[in-house]
Amino acid sequence: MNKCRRCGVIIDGAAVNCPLCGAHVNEGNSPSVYDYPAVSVKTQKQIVWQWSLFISLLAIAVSMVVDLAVNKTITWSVHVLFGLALPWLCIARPLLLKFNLRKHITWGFIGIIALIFYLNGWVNDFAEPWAFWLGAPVAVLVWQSVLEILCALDKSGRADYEMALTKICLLSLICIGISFAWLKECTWGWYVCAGRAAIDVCALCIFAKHSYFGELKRRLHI
Amino acid sequence: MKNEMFERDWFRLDNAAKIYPAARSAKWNAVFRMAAVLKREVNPELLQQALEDIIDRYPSFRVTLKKGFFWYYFQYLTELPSVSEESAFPCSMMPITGKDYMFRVLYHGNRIAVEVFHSITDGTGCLSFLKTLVFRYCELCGAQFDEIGDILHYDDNPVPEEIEDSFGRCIDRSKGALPRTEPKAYQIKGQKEKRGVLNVTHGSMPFGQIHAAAKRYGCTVNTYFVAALTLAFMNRQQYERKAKKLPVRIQVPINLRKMLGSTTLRNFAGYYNTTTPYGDWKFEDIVAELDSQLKDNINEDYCQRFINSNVSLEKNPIIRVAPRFLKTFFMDISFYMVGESVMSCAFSNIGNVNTPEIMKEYVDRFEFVLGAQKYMCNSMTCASYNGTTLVTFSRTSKDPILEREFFKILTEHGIDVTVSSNRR
Repeated sequence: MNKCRRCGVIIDGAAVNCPLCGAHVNEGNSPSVYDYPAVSVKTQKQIVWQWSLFISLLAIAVSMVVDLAVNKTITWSVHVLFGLALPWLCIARPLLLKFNLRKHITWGFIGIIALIFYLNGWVNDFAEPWAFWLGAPVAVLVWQSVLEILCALDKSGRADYEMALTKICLLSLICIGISFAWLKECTWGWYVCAGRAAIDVCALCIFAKHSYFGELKRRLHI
Repeated sequence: MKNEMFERDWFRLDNAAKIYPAARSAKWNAVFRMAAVLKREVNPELLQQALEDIIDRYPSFRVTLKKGFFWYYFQYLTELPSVSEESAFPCSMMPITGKDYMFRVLYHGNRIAVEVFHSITDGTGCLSFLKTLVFRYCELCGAQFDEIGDILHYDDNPVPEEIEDSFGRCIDRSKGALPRTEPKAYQIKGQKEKRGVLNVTHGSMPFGQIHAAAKRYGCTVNTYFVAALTLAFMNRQQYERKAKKLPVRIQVPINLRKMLGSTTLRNFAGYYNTTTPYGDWKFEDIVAELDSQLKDNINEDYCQRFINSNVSLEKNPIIRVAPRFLKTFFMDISFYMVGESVMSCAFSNIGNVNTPEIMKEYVDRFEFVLGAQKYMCNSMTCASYNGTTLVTFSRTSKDPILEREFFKILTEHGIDVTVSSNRR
């Protein structure tokens, strides 16, 4: 056990700093049986984030209620929805929470896809759903390319990028299903996305078999 | 005395219990914890089984707190309590929902912790519950007990005396009451932690060394600790450049059961505030001062007057007919005025925890942690077990000023202190 030179007390467990004076002690021992669980404390940023979410949701709900009551539609309240949700999702959330490049990129692309759908609705009220058969697949393809590059470059976060690529594969398959259910046909955009994602996943299964399946099992709690 | 609990599915709060729901706020309620650190990792399934086996032995724990028109009251719960893994700070907020238990059993690694809302019981009652729980857990782990000492066996039936309101029984108005007002005391005000954070610092030391040190100064271990705590406050106040120097007042709880003959498992504790005026004191002078204060004042007569002063207010006809929200309002004010602002720190010593010898093979140590106080930043507890004394500080401020001063005094007296904390 380590002794703090300043306080004269013995430090128990794996602490590297004296709990009384904060002085650095030589080396941490193995964890003690008296250890408590690690509890994260809400930071100021988290509190701001939660409040910004609450206020955004409240504003959206109020505007929808007013819009429905006055106009019997949700025409302008949809603008409020996107006007608040997009900046919150794509800018405020990644900045206010602990910065994570993968999450930042993910939310950025979710925001772009949502914006494409919003524009589609605004321009022709989904009479011609080009957001679904062209806009979204192109955004997903770009997103996939960014993830592939990062997967190759950022070795420490590779597991996260691999999982994100798997999710894109699943997302593409779900979108093909939705296409058949909604439009009774599927466009080339989603086939390209699904095909490319399937190649990515197959490559991972072949070249990073152990780490990939290990991570998959861990995340699925198998 | 006829006990209400066996006839109805609800019962009244005892006198001491009434202040805690009234004084609670959105940020604070009075929760404390008793824990046993075992020598092996806790098995949650066995712990759950042990809890289910013992809960009927402690009917005063099998309740939730509900709001009545005049007072809060306890409602009996039919569903069984469950254990859960510890994932928050010790003594975290226990909301009064009217549906949930007012205690929780937590496990983490080798530790079994019981956290209780103070209205349910005091330290003695909680320790009894924990000892029975650990005893049953050890049995389920395969321990064979020849004798159980003072542990309440889970197979025995609860007796009315264990769940009586001893405050009501022991009132004797002929002995008079205690004066209520005391001037403000010195408190350490550090930078506050975020809401819900409780910093816990344990200092473990050999009981033999503490006992020898106390003997050297001619006092009990309890007085020795109160004196060291008082000196720690004095040293800190000397360091601060405030013109007005205040006395140091330590609140020492008294187990009224021993004084007035009760075996209740509900609240039955009083307190005595030791007062040491500010000055340039030496440790031995503080010991002599506190020893005389504690010896001269803590007696049966003091306890009786303490009960009288508390119960007479509750029995006042005007207060009795006032609706709960009015009582809550005034009790909250009185909690501030005669409660925490007049003392520097609370120090609660549960003494030596006695268990059967065989239990020492399973249990490493017992811990006692007071939750965050409403206005004060610091509190201190002490528990001894198997030749080791564990002093625990809990604080809601960032800097461990008090514990640093306190352990410095102990190490200067030649005591080997091993420190651990819940913050990394």
